Amino acid sequence: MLQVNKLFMSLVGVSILCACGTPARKINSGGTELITTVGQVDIQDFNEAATKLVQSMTTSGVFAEYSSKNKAVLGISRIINDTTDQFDTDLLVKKIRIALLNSGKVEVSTTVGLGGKAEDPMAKSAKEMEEFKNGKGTEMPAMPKFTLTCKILEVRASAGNTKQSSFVFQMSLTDITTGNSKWEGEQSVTKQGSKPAIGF
Amino acid sequence: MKLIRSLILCNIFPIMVACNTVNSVVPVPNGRPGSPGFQQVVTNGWLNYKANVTDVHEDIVNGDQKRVQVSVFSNQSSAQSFSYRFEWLTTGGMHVDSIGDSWQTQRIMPQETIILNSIAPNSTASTWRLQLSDTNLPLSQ
Repeated sequence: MLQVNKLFMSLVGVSILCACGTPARKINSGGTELITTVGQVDIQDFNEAATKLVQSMTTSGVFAEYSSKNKAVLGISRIINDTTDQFDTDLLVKKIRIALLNSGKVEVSTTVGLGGKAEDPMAKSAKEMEEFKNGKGTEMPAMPKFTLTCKILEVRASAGNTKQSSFVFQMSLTDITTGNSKWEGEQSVTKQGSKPAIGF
Repeated sequence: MKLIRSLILCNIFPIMVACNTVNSVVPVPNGRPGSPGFQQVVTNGWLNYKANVTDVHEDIVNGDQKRVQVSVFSNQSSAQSFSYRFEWLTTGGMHVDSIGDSWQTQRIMPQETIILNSIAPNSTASTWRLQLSDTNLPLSQ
Protein backbone atom coordinates (compact mmCIF):
# COMPACT_ATOMS: atom_id res chain seq x y z
CA MET A 1 0.00 0.00 0.00
CA LEU A 2 2.88 2.29 0.88
CA GLN A 3 4.47 1.59 -2.50
CA VAL A 4 1.20 2.39 -4.31
CA ASN A 5 1.01 5.68 -2.40
CA LYS A 6 4.61 6.52 -3.31
CA LEU A 7 3.94 5.74 -6.97
CA PHE A 8 0.77 7.81 -6.85
CA MET A 9 2.55 10.79 -5.30
CA SER A 10 5.41 10.63 -7.79
CA LEU A 11 2.95 10.47 -10.69
CA VAL A 12 1.05 13.45 -9.26
CA GLY A 13 4.32 15.35 -8.94
CA VAL A 14 5.36 14.65 -12.53
CA SER A 15 1.90 15.51 -13.81
CA ILE A 16 1.92 18.86 -11.97
CA LEU A 17 5.28 19.64 -13.51
CA CYS A 18 3.97 18.67 -16.95
CA ALA A 19 0.85 20.78 -16.47
CA CYS A 20 2.81 24.02 -16.08
CA GLY A 21 2.90 26.31 -19.14
CA THR A 22 5.46 25.60 -21.84
CA PRO A 23 8.60 27.65 -21.19
CA ALA A 24 10.10 29.51 -24.15
CA ARG A 25 12.70 27.57 -26.10
CA LYS A 26 14.34 27.69 -29.49
CA ILE A 27 13.19 25.19 -32.08
CA ASN A 28 14.48 24.39 -35.55
CA SER A 29 12.72 26.53 -38.20
CA GLY A 30 12.86 23.57 -40.56
CA GLY A 31 12.01 21.02 -37.87
CA THR A 32 9.01 18.92 -36.97
CA GLU A 33 7.86 20.81 -33.87
CA LEU A 34 6.45 23.89 -35.62
CA ILE A 35 2.94 25.11 -34.95
CA THR A 36 0.48 24.22 -37.70
CA THR A 37 -2.47 26.55 -38.15
CA VAL A 38 -5.46 26.12 -40.43
CA GLY A 39 -6.24 29.66 -41.52
CA GLN A 40 -2.81 31.01 -42.38
CA VAL A 41 0.31 30.09 -44.30
CA ASP A 42 2.91 28.72 -41.85
CA ILE A 43 6.68 28.80 -42.28
CA GLN A 44 6.71 25.08 -43.15
CA ASP A 45 4.10 25.69 -45.87
CA PHE A 46 6.42 28.21 -47.55
CA ASN A 47 9.27 25.69 -47.28
CA GLU A 48 7.20 22.92 -48.83
CA ALA A 49 5.84 25.08 -51.67
CA ALA A 50 9.26 26.56 -52.50
CA THR A 51 10.97 23.15 -52.44
CA LYS A 52 8.44 21.56 -54.78
CA LEU A 53 8.29 24.54 -57.15
CA VAL A 54 12.08 24.62 -57.48
CA GLN A 55 12.08 20.84 -58.07
CA SER A 56 9.50 21.25 -60.81
CA MET A 57 11.45 24.12 -62.41
CA THR A 58 14.70 22.15 -62.27
CA THR A 59 13.16 18.95 -63.62
CA SER A 60 11.75 20.87 -66.59
CA GLY A 61 15.33 21.54 -67.70
CA VAL A 62 14.63 25.20 -68.36
CA PHE A 63 18.14 26.15 -67.21
CA ALA A 64 19.87 23.05 -68.63
CA GLU A 65 21.78 25.01 -71.29
CA TYR A 66 23.23 27.41 -68.68
CA SER A 67 26.31 26.87 -66.54
CA SER A 68 28.50 28.69 -64.01
CA LYS A 69 30.27 30.41 -66.94
CA ASN A 70 27.08 31.28 -68.79
CA LYS A 71 24.39 32.14 -66.27
CA ALA A 72 20.77 33.00 -67.01
CA VAL A 73 19.70 36.35 -65.54
CA LEU A 74 16.35 36.32 -63.78
CA GLY A 75 14.16 39.35 -63.02
CA ILE A 76 11.48 39.22 -60.34
CA SER A 77 8.20 40.49 -61.72
CA ARG A 78 4.74 40.73 -60.17
CA ILE A 79 4.14 38.66 -57.03
CA ILE A 80 0.53 38.70 -55.84
CA ASN A 81 -0.77 37.57 -52.48
CA ASP A 82 -4.47 36.99 -53.11
CA THR A 83 -5.16 35.32 -49.76
CA THR A 84 -6.79 36.74 -46.64
CA ASP A 85 -3.52 36.15 -44.77
CA GLN A 86 -1.16 39.13 -44.80
CA PHE A 87 2.44 38.05 -45.25
CA ASP A 88 5.54 39.19 -47.06
CA THR A 89 5.78 37.29 -50.34
CA ASP A 90 9.56 37.20 -49.92
CA LEU A 91 8.93 34.33 -47.50
CA LEU A 92 8.33 32.28 -50.64
CA VAL A 93 10.23 34.12 -53.38
CA LYS A 94 13.49 34.52 -51.47
CA LYS A 95 13.72 30.75 -50.94
CA ILE A 96 13.28 30.20 -54.66
CA ARG A 97 15.86 32.85 -55.52
CA ILE A 98 18.38 31.31 -53.13
CA ALA A 99 17.82 27.82 -54.55
CA LEU A 100 18.24 29.07 -58.13
CA LEU A 101 21.37 31.04 -57.24
CA ASN A 102 22.83 28.00 -55.46
CA SER A 103 22.28 25.92 -58.60
CA GLY A 104 25.15 27.93 -60.13
CA LYS A 105 23.18 28.49 -63.35
CA VAL A 106 21.11 31.56 -62.50
CA GLU A 107 21.74 35.13 -61.37
CA VAL A 108 18.95 37.34 -60.04
CA SER A 109 18.87 40.99 -61.05
CA THR A 110 18.54 43.41 -58.15
CA THR A 111 18.81 46.51 -60.36
CA VAL A 112 15.99 45.75 -62.80
CA GLY A 113 12.58 45.56 -61.15
CA LEU A 114 8.89 45.81 -61.83
CA GLY A 115 7.85 49.33 -62.97
CA GLY A 116 11.49 50.40 -63.21
CA LYS A 117 11.92 50.13 -59.44
CA ALA A 118 15.18 48.49 -58.50
CA GLU A 119 15.25 46.18 -55.49
CA ASP A 120 18.64 47.66 -54.65
CA PRO A 121 18.59 51.39 -55.61
CA MET A 122 22.17 51.93 -54.49
CA ALA A 123 23.43 49.12 -56.73
CA LYS A 124 21.44 50.61 -59.62
CA SER A 125 23.00 54.07 -59.11
CA ALA A 126 26.49 52.58 -58.81
CA LYS A 127 25.94 50.52 -61.96
CA GLU A 128 24.79 53.63 -63.86
CA MET A 129 27.83 55.56 -62.63
CA GLU A 130 30.09 52.72 -63.72
CA GLU A 131 28.49 52.62 -67.16
CA PHE A 132 28.80 56.42 -67.50
CA LYS A 133 32.47 56.23 -66.47
CA ASN A 134 33.12 53.54 -69.09
CA GLY A 135 31.29 55.50 -71.79
CA LYS A 136 28.40 53.04 -71.92
CA GLY A 137 25.81 55.43 -70.48
CA THR A 138 23.83 55.65 -73.70
CA GLU A 139 23.80 51.92 -74.34
CA MET A 140 20.78 49.75 -73.66
CA PRO A 141 21.11 48.27 -70.17
CA ALA A 142 21.43 44.50 -69.87
CA MET A 143 18.01 43.01 -69.30
CA PRO A 144 17.10 39.71 -67.65
CA LYS A 145 16.66 36.69 -69.88
CA PHE A 146 13.77 35.42 -67.76
CA THR A 147 11.14 36.95 -65.49
CA LEU A 148 9.35 35.24 -62.61
CA THR A 149 5.72 35.92 -61.67
CA CYS A 150 3.77 34.39 -58.82
CA LYS A 151 0.26 34.39 -57.46
CA ILE A 152 -0.85 32.89 -54.14
CA LEU A 153 -4.52 31.95 -53.83
CA GLU A 154 -6.68 30.61 -51.03
CA VAL A 155 -9.69 28.29 -50.99
CA ARG A 156 -11.59 27.75 -47.73
CA ALA A 157 -14.18 25.17 -46.74
CA SER A 158 -15.70 23.95 -43.49
CA ALA A 159 -17.88 21.12 -42.22
CA GLY A 160 -19.20 21.62 -38.69
CA ASN A 161 -16.28 22.60 -36.48
CA THR A 162 -13.69 21.35 -38.95
CA LYS A 163 -12.12 24.03 -41.11
CA GLN A 164 -10.05 23.50 -44.22
CA SER A 165 -7.75 25.94 -46.01
CA SER A 166 -5.94 25.37 -49.28
CA PHE A 167 -3.18 27.73 -50.30
CA VAL A 168 -2.29 27.51 -53.98
CA PHE A 169 1.09 28.80 -55.15
CA GLN A 170 1.18 29.47 -58.91
CA MET A 171 4.39 30.46 -60.62
CA SER A 172 5.45 31.24 -64.20
CA LEU A 173 8.84 31.74 -65.80
CA THR A 174 8.77 33.83 -68.99
CA ASP A 175 11.50 34.00 -71.61
CA ILE A 176 11.61 37.69 -72.51
CA THR A 177 13.09 36.92 -75.94
CA THR A 178 9.84 35.28 -77.01
CA GLY A 179 7.47 36.67 -74.40
CA ASN A 180 6.19 33.16 -73.79
CA SER A 181 6.31 31.17 -70.58
CA LYS A 182 9.03 28.50 -70.50
CA TRP A 183 7.84 26.88 -67.30
CA GLU A 184 4.75 27.03 -65.10
CA GLY A 185 4.23 25.35 -61.77
CA GLU A 186 1.50 25.03 -59.19
CA GLN A 187 1.77 23.73 -55.67
CA SER A 188 -1.04 23.43 -53.13
CA VAL A 189 -0.87 23.14 -49.37
CA THR A 190 -4.11 22.01 -47.73
CA LYS A 191 -4.68 21.97 -43.98
CA GLN A 192 -7.66 20.77 -41.99
CA GLY A 193 -8.60 21.00 -38.32
CA SER A 194 -10.46 22.96 -35.70
CA LYS A 195 -7.52 24.48 -33.83
CA PRO A 196 -3.76 24.97 -34.24
CA ALA A 197 -1.43 22.13 -33.22
CA ILE A 198 2.26 21.61 -32.62
CA GLY A 199 3.94 19.37 -35.16
CA PHE A 200 2.97 18.46 -38.70
CA MET B 1 -8.55 4.00 -9.71
CA LYS B 2 -9.59 6.01 -12.75
CA LEU B 3 -7.36 8.84 -11.61
CA ILE B 4 -4.37 6.52 -11.25
CA ARG B 5 -4.99 5.06 -14.71
CA SER B 6 -5.23 8.48 -16.33
CA LEU B 7 -2.09 9.65 -14.51
CA ILE B 8 -0.19 6.57 -15.70
CA LEU B 9 -1.36 7.24 -19.28
CA CYS B 10 -0.33 10.89 -18.96
CA ASN B 11 3.15 9.86 -17.92
CA ILE B 12 3.60 7.02 -20.43
CA PHE B 13 2.60 9.26 -23.35
CA PRO B 14 5.62 11.61 -23.15
CA ILE B 15 7.89 8.57 -22.83
CA MET B 16 6.38 7.14 -26.05
CA VAL B 17 6.91 10.44 -27.85
CA ALA B 18 10.49 10.60 -26.58
CA CYS B 19 11.19 7.30 -28.37
CA ASN B 20 10.58 8.94 -31.75
CA THR B 21 13.96 8.31 -33.33
CA VAL B 22 14.88 8.89 -36.97
CA ASN B 23 15.32 6.23 -39.66
CA SER B 24 17.83 6.94 -42.43
CA VAL B 25 18.33 5.74 -45.98
CA VAL B 26 21.60 6.15 -47.89
CA PRO B 27 22.56 4.97 -51.38
CA VAL B 28 25.05 2.14 -51.75
CA PRO B 29 27.12 2.85 -54.85
CA ASN B 30 28.38 -0.09 -56.92
CA GLY B 31 26.36 -2.59 -54.91
CA ARG B 32 26.31 -6.28 -55.77
CA PRO B 33 24.05 -7.28 -58.70
CA GLY B 34 20.57 -7.87 -57.29
CA SER B 35 21.20 -5.75 -54.19
CA PRO B 36 18.71 -2.93 -53.59
CA GLY B 37 21.29 -0.14 -54.08
CA PHE B 38 20.45 1.50 -50.77
CA GLN B 39 20.83 0.88 -47.09
CA GLN B 40 18.22 1.57 -44.42
CA VAL B 41 19.29 2.38 -40.89
CA VAL B 42 16.24 1.53 -38.80
CA THR B 43 16.18 2.88 -35.24
CA ASN B 44 12.41 3.18 -35.06
CA GLY B 45 10.70 -0.11 -35.92
CA TRP B 46 7.18 1.30 -35.73
CA LEU B 47 8.05 4.03 -38.22
CA ASN B 48 9.60 1.45 -40.53
CA TYR B 49 6.25 -0.37 -40.74
CA LYS B 50 4.48 2.72 -41.99
CA ALA B 51 7.33 4.20 -44.05
CA ASN B 52 9.43 1.41 -45.48
CA VAL B 53 11.68 2.28 -48.42
CA THR B 54 11.24 -0.33 -51.16
CA ASP B 55 13.28 1.06 -54.04
CA VAL B 56 15.49 3.96 -55.07
CA HIS B 57 16.17 5.44 -58.51
CA GLU B 58 18.61 8.13 -59.56
CA ASP B 59 19.11 10.15 -62.73
CA ILE B 60 20.41 13.53 -63.91
CA VAL B 61 18.20 16.54 -64.66
CA ASN B 62 18.81 20.13 -65.75
CA GLY B 63 22.11 19.17 -67.35
CA ASP B 64 24.13 18.14 -64.30
CA GLN B 65 21.96 17.93 -61.18
CA LYS B 66 21.31 14.55 -59.60
CA ARG B 67 17.70 13.56 -58.92
CA VAL B 68 16.64 10.82 -56.52
CA GLN B 69 13.29 9.09 -56.33
CA VAL B 70 12.42 6.88 -53.37
CA SER B 71 9.38 4.60 -53.08
CA VAL B 72 7.90 4.29 -49.59
CA PHE B 73 5.39 1.61 -48.59
CA SER B 74 3.06 1.43 -45.58
CA ASN B 75 1.86 -1.98 -44.44
CA GLN B 76 -0.55 -0.44 -41.94
CA SER B 77 -4.32 -0.87 -42.02
CA SER B 78 -5.06 2.81 -41.34
CA ALA B 79 -3.85 6.11 -42.81
CA GLN B 80 -0.57 7.29 -41.28
CA SER B 81 1.65 10.38 -41.33
CA PHE B 82 5.39 10.77 -41.22
CA SER B 83 7.97 13.47 -41.88
CA TYR B 84 10.98 13.31 -44.15
CA ARG B 85 13.86 15.33 -45.47
CA PHE B 86 16.67 14.86 -47.96
CA GLU B 87 20.19 16.05 -47.23
CA TRP B 88 22.73 16.47 -50.03
CA LEU B 89 26.48 15.96 -49.66
CA THR B 90 29.54 16.44 -51.83
CA THR B 91 31.82 13.52 -52.73
CA GLY B 92 33.97 14.65 -49.80
CA GLY B 93 31.00 14.27 -47.45
CA MET B 94 30.43 18.00 -46.95
CA HIS B 95 26.84 19.12 -46.49
CA VAL B 96 25.38 21.26 -49.29
CA ASP B 97 22.67 23.74 -48.23
CA SER B 98 19.33 23.11 -49.86
CA ILE B 99 15.76 24.27 -49.34
CA GLY B 100 14.88 20.56 -49.18
CA ASP B 101 16.70 20.42 -45.82
CA SER B 102 13.44 21.28 -44.05
CA TRP B 103 11.25 18.49 -42.77
CA GLN B 104 8.13 17.88 -44.79
CA THR B 105 5.06 15.96 -43.75
CA GLN B 106 3.53 13.18 -45.80
CA ARG B 107 0.27 11.28 -45.46
CA ILE B 108 0.23 7.63 -46.54
CA MET B 109 -2.85 5.47 -46.97
CA PRO B 110 -3.09 1.78 -45.92
CA GLN B 111 -0.98 -0.52 -48.10
CA GLU B 112 -0.04 2.45 -50.30
CA THR B 113 3.30 3.06 -52.01
CA ILE B 114 4.15 6.72 -52.46
CA ILE B 115 7.07 8.43 -54.15
CA LEU B 116 9.36 10.98 -52.50
CA ASN B 117 11.86 12.83 -54.63
CA SER B 118 14.56 15.42 -54.36
CA ILE B 119 16.97 17.20 -56.67
CA ALA B 120 20.54 18.08 -55.79
CA PRO B 121 20.91 21.82 -55.18
CA ASN B 122 23.82 21.95 -57.64
CA SER B 123 26.29 19.76 -59.52
CA THR B 124 28.68 19.46 -56.55
CA ALA B 125 26.06 17.60 -54.52
CA SER B 126 26.67 14.01 -55.55
CA THR B 127 25.21 11.91 -52.78
CA TRP B 128 22.21 12.12 -50.49
CA ARG B 129 20.69 10.94 -47.25
CA LEU B 130 16.97 10.52 -46.59
CA GLN B 131 15.77 10.89 -43.02
CA LEU B 132 12.35 9.70 -41.90
CA SER B 133 10.69 10.70 -38.65
CA ASP B 134 7.37 9.93 -37.05
CA THR B 135 4.97 12.83 -36.68
CA ASN B 136 4.34 14.44 -33.32
CA LEU B 137 0.63 13.75 -33.47
CA PRO B 138 0.18 10.03 -32.72
CA LEU B 139 -3.28 10.53 -31.25
CA SER B 140 -4.59 12.12 -34.44
CA GLN B 141 -3.57 9.23 -36.66
